[in-house]
Amino acid sequence: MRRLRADRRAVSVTVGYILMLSVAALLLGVVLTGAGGLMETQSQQVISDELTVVGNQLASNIHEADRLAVVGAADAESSGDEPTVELTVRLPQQVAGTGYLVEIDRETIVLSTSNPDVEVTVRYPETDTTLASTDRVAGGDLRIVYDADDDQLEVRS
Amino acid sequence: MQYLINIKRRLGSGRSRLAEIKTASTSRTERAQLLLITALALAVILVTVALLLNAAIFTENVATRDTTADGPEAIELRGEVVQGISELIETENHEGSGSLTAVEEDIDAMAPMVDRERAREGTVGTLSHDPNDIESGTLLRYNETDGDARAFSEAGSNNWTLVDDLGSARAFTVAIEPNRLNATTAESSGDVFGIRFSNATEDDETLHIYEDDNKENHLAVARAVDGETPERLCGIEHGGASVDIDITGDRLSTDESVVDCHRSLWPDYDPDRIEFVNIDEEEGTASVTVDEGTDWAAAVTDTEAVYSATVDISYQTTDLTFETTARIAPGEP
Repeated sequence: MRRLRADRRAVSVTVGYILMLSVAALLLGVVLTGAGGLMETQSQQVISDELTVVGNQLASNIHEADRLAVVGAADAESSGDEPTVELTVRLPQQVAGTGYLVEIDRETIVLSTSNPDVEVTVRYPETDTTLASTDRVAGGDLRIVYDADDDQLEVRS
Repeated sequence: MQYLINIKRRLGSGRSRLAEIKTASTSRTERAQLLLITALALAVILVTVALLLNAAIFTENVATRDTTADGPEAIELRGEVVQGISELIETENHEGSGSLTAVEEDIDAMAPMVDRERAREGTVGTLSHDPNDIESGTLLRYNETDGDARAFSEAGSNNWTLVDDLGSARAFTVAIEPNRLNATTAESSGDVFGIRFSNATEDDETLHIYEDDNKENHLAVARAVDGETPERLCGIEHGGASVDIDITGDRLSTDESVVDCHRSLWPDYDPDRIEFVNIDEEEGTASVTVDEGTDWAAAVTDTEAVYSATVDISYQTTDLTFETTARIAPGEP
């Protein structure tokens, strides 16, 4: 017993460990918290940018289909035969690792993700051919089809 | 020997101490978990950062890339086909016999070229037609006499009818000698040379053609609806040489310049009759292609012609399908 009391080395090591672990835990906690917050902000920014690009891609393809539909409809007026316009838009399934939804209504494309909660609105100039409103469809490849009977464009998943 | 025995003893005591330390450390392994878990968390964060960076770079890449389908190429193909067949029809009408069969054979010869040309670009383009979809017509020409412009009064003293009971007409052009025209202003042009369009239900429309009194060497066209005061549509500078008036194409041209009339020269309705009116000393030629079943003036030369052709054009890529049926009647308003 006397020998144990006289030995100061163990005490020093224990205190040293406790101090070291406390400081390490504090430091790591701060690093993790900071990095987590930064990650969330950057993640939202990247998702927002990517949704904007996706929306613009979709808008330019809508106008592409519109031009073809106008040409086809003009031909149909003189020939009487309905045209076929079907255009596939290759969009990513996910943005920054998360799925997204697309909704189109009145020259406006709304793209949204739920985790994190990001919503981007892309507006585009009015098309000559009416574009039917589209309920929310999952992101990924979309098809733009011209419906000659109703003289309108439709976006389908 | 004793020295070696001492070393062995020391080693033996060292091993026993190492064993003690090992026992102590294995009994307190939980201390390392903090570092391990934190390292894993940091690793996940770093991987996510790498993924986000990758996504951002990819987004920038996609944003600067052309991601639209081949819409312009499809429209270009249609335009090329329509232009080619238009020229083919007009060449056949003006320089050939106006034969439907000849035009049909030429379209058949054109189809494989369209296929091959598009195949080079990795796309599928097709041109096809139904022989029944080529319509015949008649090319009416008020021609030159011995290479000189012909006086319009040769066919009738004051007014004469170019074509009556008209169904459809296209490529209506008049070439006129401007130095034979009366000089006046738009408002006073109601009594000068003109081309009158009429049908049973709509108001008559007359295009009066005159030398503009306010400008030098300037031919102008004005429109009078149902005999009311004419309104100027457009005009063109000329050096005294012949001026071509493309009435279905809304264009005036000389050898040196072309003027597009932004207001249509052809009437909004389908006329039954086309007449030349208020003829004085005007000289020139006229040409129009009409579909079947119409009457025309005796002074006009008539030849068989192809009025229109209807063709199916398709353009396909992995992302685009475009199919259209185009009726090609060159110069139809």
